[in-house]
Amino acid sequence: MIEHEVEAGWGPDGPDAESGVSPLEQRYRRVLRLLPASYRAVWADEMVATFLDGMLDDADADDADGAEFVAAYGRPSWPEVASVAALAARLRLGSDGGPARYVAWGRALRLAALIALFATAVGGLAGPGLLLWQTGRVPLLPRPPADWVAILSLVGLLTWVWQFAGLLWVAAFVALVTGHRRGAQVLAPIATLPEVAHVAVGIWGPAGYSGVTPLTWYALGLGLVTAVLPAAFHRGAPAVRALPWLLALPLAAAVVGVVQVVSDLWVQTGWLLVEWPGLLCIAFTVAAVASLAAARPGRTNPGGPLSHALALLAPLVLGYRLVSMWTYSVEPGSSAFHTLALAEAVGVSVTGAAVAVLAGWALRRLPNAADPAAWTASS
Amino acid sequence: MAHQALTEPAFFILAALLDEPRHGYGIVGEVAELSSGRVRLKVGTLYGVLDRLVADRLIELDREEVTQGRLRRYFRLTDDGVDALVAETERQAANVRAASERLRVRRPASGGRPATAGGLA
Repeated sequence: MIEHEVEAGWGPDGPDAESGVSPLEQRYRRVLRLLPASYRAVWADEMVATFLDGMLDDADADDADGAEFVAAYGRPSWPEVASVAALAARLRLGSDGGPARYVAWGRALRLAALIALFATAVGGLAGPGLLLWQTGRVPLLPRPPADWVAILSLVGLLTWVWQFAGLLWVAAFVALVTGHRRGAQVLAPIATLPEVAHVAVGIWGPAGYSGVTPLTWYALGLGLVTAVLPAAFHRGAPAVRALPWLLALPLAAAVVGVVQVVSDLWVQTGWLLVEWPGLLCIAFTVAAVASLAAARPGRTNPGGPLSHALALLAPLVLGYRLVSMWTYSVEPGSSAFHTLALAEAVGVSVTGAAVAVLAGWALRRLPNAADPAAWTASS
Repeated sequence: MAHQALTEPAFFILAALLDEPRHGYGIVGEVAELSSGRVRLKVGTLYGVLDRLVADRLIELDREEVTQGRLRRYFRLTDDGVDALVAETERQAANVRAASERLRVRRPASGGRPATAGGLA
């Protein structure tokens, strides 16, 4: 192993061009900026030394002048950069023993991912059920209006496939809560394919197809975000308690189905009084109010992980409500629907802002540097 | 104490620290040697694993030295780290024994072909 000549005198946050630092080191330090500042403060110099030793040793094996050349023109390889990026992601997603702020952040992100996937799975389970009812195929429930059955019985195979493809989200959710995180990480992106196909047909399909609206785009974006969220469940993440989530899934789907059936039977004007974005807004507002009511002012993190997760989800839910309102507003609709939708948007805004303030306040109070005791020589 | 199965990099890092405390690049070199060049740790991977092993109290900081203006941290195995390495070694040895027995059945000592029902041999 060689010892290369480099001058000390740079800080943990970056290179100083006047201190004699080699271009290779400057490049590697730029890569290290992916890491949290608190981690860099402890580890950057050590990581730089290890990296340079490896690079310059490899160069020496081939060529006597190689070390100088590599120091001037070498670059960190993509696998090196990827390893730093993976470490950065793991640290920011709350690895065990990491800074408390990152641990809280990681918990919040994973809970938000779980809630988003849960909501999508509920929709994926309720959708086929509703279609079965609307086409008169569920004998135990009240019959839908005869004209609906007549119209919906004409829907093509594509609609059936579309609705039942929602069950892929159910599979992704079940995989995640039962500990098959890899399965969830594969299934969730696959579950977005029907939405992708929908948009693709709208753009490149037959002329006159008008199925793609701003709401379709938003739903696609939401699906893609939900699809990547299971990545927050890294190898070191704690296991999810599966049973409560697995029990809640059919229960919530049944509630959605009942609300939709009642709403469909009640409002015969062509507008559904409460539709899917509205249900999400109501569920969000109820959860946020419950989280605020349960907050304990004396605790370091008064709202707990739920308030953090809801703060992350609030913009997504509010966006869904506003885009759907805007999409529907170009078509004739009842004023009752618009009033209710507006109230739902206000509800999400107010409660979402409140949980965001609570979560932000709690996060700022948590330390963002690693426990120094973990990195102190014990003798 | 029950130990979780170690990842391959974690296993080799613990093994690399058995004889003496080592710093980052010393560990990289030792791991490459122990694995006959098969495992070449990237720096981000190395410090991610070191981070976890310290958190699990399987290794700890031994000392810090400044060489040529560079800070070097030396790590050493803890007693828990030795236990984890022993447990993992025994687990892997048991796996090897089980697989070897199956291989002996499939490939007898005479070097003959596998005995298959209805085979032509």
